[in-house]
Amino acid sequence: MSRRHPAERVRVTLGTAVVAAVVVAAAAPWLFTGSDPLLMHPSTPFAGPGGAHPLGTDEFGRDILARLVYGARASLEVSAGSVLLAGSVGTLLGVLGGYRSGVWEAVTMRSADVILCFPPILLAMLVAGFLGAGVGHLILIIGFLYMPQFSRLAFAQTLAVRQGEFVEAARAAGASTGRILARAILPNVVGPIVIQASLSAASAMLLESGLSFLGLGVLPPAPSWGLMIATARNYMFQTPYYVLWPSVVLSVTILGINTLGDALLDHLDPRRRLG
Amino acid sequence: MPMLKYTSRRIVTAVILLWVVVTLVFAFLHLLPGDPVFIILGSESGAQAPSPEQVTAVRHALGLDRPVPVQYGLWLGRLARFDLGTSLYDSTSVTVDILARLPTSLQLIAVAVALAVAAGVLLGITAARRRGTWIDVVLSVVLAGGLSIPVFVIGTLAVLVFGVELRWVPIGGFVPFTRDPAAYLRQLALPATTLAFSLLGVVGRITRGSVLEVMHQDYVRTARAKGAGEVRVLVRHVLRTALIPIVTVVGVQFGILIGGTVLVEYIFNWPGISTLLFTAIQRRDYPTVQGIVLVTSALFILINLIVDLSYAVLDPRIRYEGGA
Repeated sequence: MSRRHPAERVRVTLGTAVVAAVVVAAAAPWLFTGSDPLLMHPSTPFAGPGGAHPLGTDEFGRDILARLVYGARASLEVSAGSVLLAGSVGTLLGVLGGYRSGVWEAVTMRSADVILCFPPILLAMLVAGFLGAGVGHLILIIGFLYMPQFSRLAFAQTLAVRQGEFVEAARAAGASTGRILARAILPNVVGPIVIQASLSAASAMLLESGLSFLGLGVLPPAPSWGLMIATARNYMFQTPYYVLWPSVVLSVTILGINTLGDALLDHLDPRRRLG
Repeated sequence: MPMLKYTSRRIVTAVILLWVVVTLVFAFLHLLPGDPVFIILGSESGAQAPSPEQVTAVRHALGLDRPVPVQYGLWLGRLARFDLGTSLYDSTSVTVDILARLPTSLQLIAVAVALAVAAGVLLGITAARRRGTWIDVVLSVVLAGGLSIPVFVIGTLAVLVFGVELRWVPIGGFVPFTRDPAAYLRQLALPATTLAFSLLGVVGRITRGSVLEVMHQDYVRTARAKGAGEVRVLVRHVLRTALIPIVTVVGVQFGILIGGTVLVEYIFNWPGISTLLFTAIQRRDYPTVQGIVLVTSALFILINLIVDLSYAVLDPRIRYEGGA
């Protein structure tokens, strides 16, 4: 007896549409715009919306719509890349730690404790500030920082199922440890991990855009939403729309990912659905 | 005495974690590929090459010309005296610099947390009591917005609307409370509200969830049956139980709160520890950066310890399980 408000269903549909649009924009930006995001038109800076530039131009006369569309790629690369890294390594460590106990458990859980001692943005600023910014470094550092979210979850899930009869049966049938982990344990761990991945992706995008906003993330002239907001802030008294576009696009994207994550959570946790 | 056992165990863990963090912060430079001095001076990022005199000066100033075990011993010895070294930029004491900025940041964080908890609890209770109605839907969108809209977007738009268009409050800066309380509060209003908004979503959602869970418990029904008023039932019975997850979530969110503080201080030019960190990174002032990371992480460990302990006070089940 799902007591979902109809508006709730509309929200989930909208969230899915937003995420789909951003993924398409990152994969095939030319479907949305015919302009080059890096092409400067020094003679027409801050052109108003309309004509050849549907959303106007920035301080170098570059097309704002094109920069927004191409900016999806940097954000998505960082959030998807870091979550894939954190999710795969974290899940592996968590499952091994939960199944093997002993040394593996100590390595998994204590390393998670230590990583969690550092506020993420500080470590990210430290690395970006002294090693250099850029998409690659962002993926590595955010992936590292987000590992505990996955290793702890996978650890707890594995502990919960490892005494199960189906695991016992597999072991009695002489299955190797690798086979037991892959065939009996992992399928029971994957659900919560996927939910965590969607929530982590949203928070990785928040972190990336914040770092880019500070000038410690994606490097110019590559288009990035956080970077665009930082630049547009300098001109927002003359052209308030310039700062508004990337702000709206970034917020709606993160909202969309979070909405999808919530919907997944509701779907997989019957208690929440009934409540 | 399960409580005592649990407390001492948690304190020992916290001390060990602190030592690991101290060691990692020390090791950071040595773990990176390349010469620490060149990393600090930024030759890796393609800037102009530092002069040999500069290299020798920095190497000597940071004691990097000594063997690593000696450096580590000196590092621990200095920390025991709360000495975080001297700034490479202006040779001031990093400890003094941090202590001068930390209270300004803590004021901002404290006011923001208070605002977020007050508003979040109120909105969460309202959403729970009107569950399934359009009020619940609207509130859940607002709370999801708090979770999703980046704090620097809120800050930027707040400056645009309230500072530039409406001119209600100044767009940035700081006046000490002792000099002019009214001006201090006007300066604090926008940054604190902005920071609070980033926490509001989490607090509101947790409150909604736990109030829903508690609302239909037997003891709440008993209280109602005894004729207790609605407000009394909510405050005395529902909220008291719902408080545990709220306390935890504020503690857990502290890392995100620090992230928000960095951005909010930057946008509103609030002279706290994050603005110090940001300028120190730009000046490649490694000792200052190192000191701030260390102090913040230590505070982080301390807050987690306090949250864990208060959690055990609020919920007796924890200390019996944890202390066994």
